[in-house]
Amino acid sequence: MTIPSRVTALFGFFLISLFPGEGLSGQKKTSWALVTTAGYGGLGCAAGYAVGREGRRASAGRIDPRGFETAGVTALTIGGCWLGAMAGVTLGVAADSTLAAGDQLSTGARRGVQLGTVLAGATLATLISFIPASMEDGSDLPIVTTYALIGAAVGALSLFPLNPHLYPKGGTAALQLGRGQEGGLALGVIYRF
Amino acid sequence: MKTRWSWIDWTALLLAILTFGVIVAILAQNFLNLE
Repeated sequence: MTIPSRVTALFGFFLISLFPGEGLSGQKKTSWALVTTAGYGGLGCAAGYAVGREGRRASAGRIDPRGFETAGVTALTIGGCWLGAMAGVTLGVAADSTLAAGDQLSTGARRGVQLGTVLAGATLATLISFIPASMEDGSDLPIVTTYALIGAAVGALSLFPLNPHLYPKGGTAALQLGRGQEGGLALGVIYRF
Repeated sequence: MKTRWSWIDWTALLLAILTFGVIVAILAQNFLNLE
């Protein structure tokens, strides 16, 4: 199945696709494009919605706020989703292609994918937060924000098991055993991140 | 090995984004109070 088809079919379950790969064998099954699309797309949605909401607030009293609410905010939200998802899919497909070819990612691309993973956690958690938030009276912002932050933290934590998939075959961890400066044995641990 | 996307992939992505955006916009404006 191609990547976008999986985006369509498994959007809510993208976390599952984060963990199928095998240890240090590197980029075989992990689809970074899926993660970065969800992450940056979610960020774009949120940014688009925020801009729309501010626009509605600024235009209150001058144009019909209900009209702007339904048309403007929705259009800006979708536009933000589009821009973010395009940025994410471009970044992810480039990273997947580079890794599949057995090449190293540039530091910028690697950090971009890592940020996308954090954002993907925040996106998923924000979607989940809509359920409890809709049941609450008053402002839902605290609930949504809390969920988003927790999701971002989970996304960041997921980078630890996923880290090997950011590198071509060969792995990221190494143990070095050698002689210390003042004699004796020295054990070094290398973990590229 | 370059990852290639055919038109159906991009169409699926476009539909996914549109659906997602519409759902988020409807939820955010009608069922949530994000003021």
